[in-house]
Amino acid sequence: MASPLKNLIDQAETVIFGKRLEITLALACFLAKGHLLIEDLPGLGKTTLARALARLSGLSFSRVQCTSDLLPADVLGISVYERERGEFRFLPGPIFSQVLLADEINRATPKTQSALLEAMEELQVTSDGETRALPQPFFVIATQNPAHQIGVFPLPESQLDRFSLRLTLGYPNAGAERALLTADSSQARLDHLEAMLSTEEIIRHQEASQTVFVAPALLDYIQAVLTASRQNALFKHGLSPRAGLSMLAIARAIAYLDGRKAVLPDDIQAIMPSVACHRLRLRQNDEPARPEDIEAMLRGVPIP
Amino acid sequence: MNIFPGSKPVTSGNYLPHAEFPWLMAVALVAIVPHFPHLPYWIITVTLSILLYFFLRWQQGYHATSVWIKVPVALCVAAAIAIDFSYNFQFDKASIAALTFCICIKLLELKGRRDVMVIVALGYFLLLTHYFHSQDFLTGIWLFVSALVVTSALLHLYDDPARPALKTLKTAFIMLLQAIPLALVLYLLFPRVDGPLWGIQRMQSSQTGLSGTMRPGQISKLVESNEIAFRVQFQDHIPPRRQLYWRGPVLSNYDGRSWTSNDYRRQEPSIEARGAPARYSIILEPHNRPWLLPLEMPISFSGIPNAYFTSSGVLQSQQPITNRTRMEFVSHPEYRMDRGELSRFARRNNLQLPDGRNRRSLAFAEQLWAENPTPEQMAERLLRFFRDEPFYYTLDPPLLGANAVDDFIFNSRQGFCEHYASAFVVLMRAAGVPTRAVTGYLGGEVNPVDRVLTVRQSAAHAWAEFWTVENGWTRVDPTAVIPPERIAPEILNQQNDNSPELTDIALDALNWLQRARYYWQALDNHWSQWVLDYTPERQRELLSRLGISDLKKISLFFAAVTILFLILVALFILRKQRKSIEPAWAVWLSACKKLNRQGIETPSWETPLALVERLQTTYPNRLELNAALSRLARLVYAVRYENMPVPIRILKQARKQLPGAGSNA
Repeated sequence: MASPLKNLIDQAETVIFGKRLEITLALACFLAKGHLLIEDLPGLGKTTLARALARLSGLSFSRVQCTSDLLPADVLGISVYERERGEFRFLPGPIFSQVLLADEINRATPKTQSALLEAMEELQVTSDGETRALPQPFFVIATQNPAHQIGVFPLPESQLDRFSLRLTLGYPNAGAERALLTADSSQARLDHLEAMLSTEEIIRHQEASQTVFVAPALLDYIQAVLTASRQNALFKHGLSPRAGLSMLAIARAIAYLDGRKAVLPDDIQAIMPSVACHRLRLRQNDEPARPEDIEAMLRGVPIP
Repeated sequence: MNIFPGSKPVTSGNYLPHAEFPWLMAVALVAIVPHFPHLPYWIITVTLSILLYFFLRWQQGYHATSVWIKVPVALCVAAAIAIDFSYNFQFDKASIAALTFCICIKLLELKGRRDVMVIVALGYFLLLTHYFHSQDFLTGIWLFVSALVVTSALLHLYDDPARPALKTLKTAFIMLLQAIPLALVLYLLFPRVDGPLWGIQRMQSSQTGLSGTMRPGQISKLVESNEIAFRVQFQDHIPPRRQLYWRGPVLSNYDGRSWTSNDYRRQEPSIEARGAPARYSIILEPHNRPWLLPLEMPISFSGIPNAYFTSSGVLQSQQPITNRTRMEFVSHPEYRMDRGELSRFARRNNLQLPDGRNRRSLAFAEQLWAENPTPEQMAERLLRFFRDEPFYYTLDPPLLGANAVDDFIFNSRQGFCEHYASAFVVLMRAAGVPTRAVTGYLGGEVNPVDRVLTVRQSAAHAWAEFWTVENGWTRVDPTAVIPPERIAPEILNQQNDNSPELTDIALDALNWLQRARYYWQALDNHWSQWVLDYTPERQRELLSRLGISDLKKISLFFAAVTILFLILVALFILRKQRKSIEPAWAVWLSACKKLNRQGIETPSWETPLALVERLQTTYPNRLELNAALSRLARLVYAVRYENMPVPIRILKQARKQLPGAGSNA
């Protein structure tokens, strides 16, 4: 049941060194049918992680490099007129794949951003009055450079809330760094990876992960955490109900990946920074919340 | 780290916010001020000084006063109370004085919430003692307001200190209102005590009333009191004022100075009723004497089981009246008593005169008798004498010498009703007519609101009765003949309040103040009739109407019901608690307590597994503890989060394996 997924994580670790927790979270996000936002400086392995996940799960992959002149049609697809047949033909954009990597999404204009995010939320694309469903499963990994660089359009909070999880990979530790320097190129390592799952298996795991048992006490705990985020004077706004759903789904997926049949309070505490940081802003300086702020909030909520 | 700044008031611990101080001051004031009229001046001074000192201390930042000041002050006051009250063993007054002092000095040693509880409890108790002095309606209202203040002080202690005082008062008011149904049930059904509560009787024993003797100056002193002697509710019409003679002790024995009664014989006088009867009930205020003061002349009565007539027609109870008492009477304002024959004892008794006194009066009486040889003519002549000669009716007559009647008739000619009654009886007796003095009350005030007649001590009166064969005892009121211009204005004013027909006061004709006064009196009357006059007999009557005959059984029944109710409430609360903390979690929490006792913190936000990991890194050597805790945590997880049926017994065993505080090795 969960062991092929464990193997998958092991395999991914052969490509991205020393980031097992991040890989697990990313996979959990996938199982929970959420979308992932990776926020980091360039060159830290965001793309590699996305490609590895796509390749290992045997899903089609495409990548969009966002720039300020990227248009919605460049992502969603475009209808071209075919003179021979005398009709329009839809050329699907890169979004018609199972894993989409939207690199540096905050470099795209708000128009393109929202087109992408709408498609991501509704799992369909409407163009020329025709609605086309996106392939299943559908998983968006967006990467973002920290906002204080020049020429970016930071995602508004409403868009950020659509990402279940936000990760930062950060610099590798010394050992991983060394391994990186001595190993083959990342492209070569990716080429070594083989698909370990079929699409059907992925969908089955997605469904199975969401049947993990959650004790009523833990539902109480999730509610208490949501309430605490709304009452806490640290934050400008509290967490949305959607955030609560993400918490629940990802906690289940994490427990599933761990081979358990029940969610533990430790799961919820472990995922909280990744679920909440990008959704909360500090009242003090309007910056995104840091993991230590989330921890401070959790210290006010007793374990039920 | 408090991550909810300002969201929760500090209500735990022993911390006492200074915002509580004004409430405590208010509690002390409402509890002690009504006692002031009954306390010696020195203790009032001491308590007020302490309150002032407390106020100043609080303005300058409060610190509990040093023991070296408190203890000497307390000892001095205790000694002073002991000395001041010991001479006549006024234990109750002494204890009130002591409690008054205690509630004040307690303000000087406030250290925490505990001290506030002491003050609040003392406050409630002192409120109760206000009933020693008075039980009227106004006291009831005052006590409600006071209870409001004390309850608010208590509420405020457990509330947000920043909450406005008015809101606290409102909550307390609602709470007191909610308590009223319970108070009513207890009032109606809790077994009543026969007789006054300890303390009350003695505190109120200074009541005024007819003393059973008559001396110059005695009744006129009584008349200065405005206290209520009794209230009367007539069933139909109220007789005219000239008939409203309320009969108290009859005095036949004269020693030249005071009149006393020497009639102890029980004997129903023969009363021949004439005219229409008057039916009425009397609520008699306690006066510590046996007489019952009915309207002349009663022919039947109920309400006092052992009442009896003396041979001179005085209605008495066997015990002194120490409780407010309610009786029903039927009287005939027109009557003839003891016609035809007078016993030898009565004749001798009512002709007796002290030897060798008032010779001038005796001679004067003989002279008048020669001119008016029948008792009726003689009485008529004497009344004319009082009316025509310059006799004055006054509240402060000059002192009289050894021959008091001579002095009064021929020299001073100023007196109150006892002077006139006394002179009249002496002169009649000198003429050989059996005559006696009667004390009691005359008239009363009718409240137009509820038509209740209130008789106050100021209506105390004395008159005379002489006996003839044809008519028996005939009432004569010598003061009634004094013309108004010779009556002292203060007496006249009192009488003017009552027009001859007592019933014809029209409420509409009065100004609002008078009207309000009458309404207030009616309310007070209802209070004493329905609240204070709820005696054991009335309770029994009510219970028997409810079908309960045995008070003891019903007490037991109510005790059982109450206990059962309390047990149910307790079970309900316990069950609710148990529901909110499931057993497995309770085991974990108690294990946490066990760790706390060993100095290991267990913050509530930390998951059990996180705790286990933390301990493994901080105390790597305590293998036994770590192993046991890890096992327990896994069991708790299994039950609480993984829905596994692990028996609670196993969890408890795992908790037992946690090493205790002693094994720190």
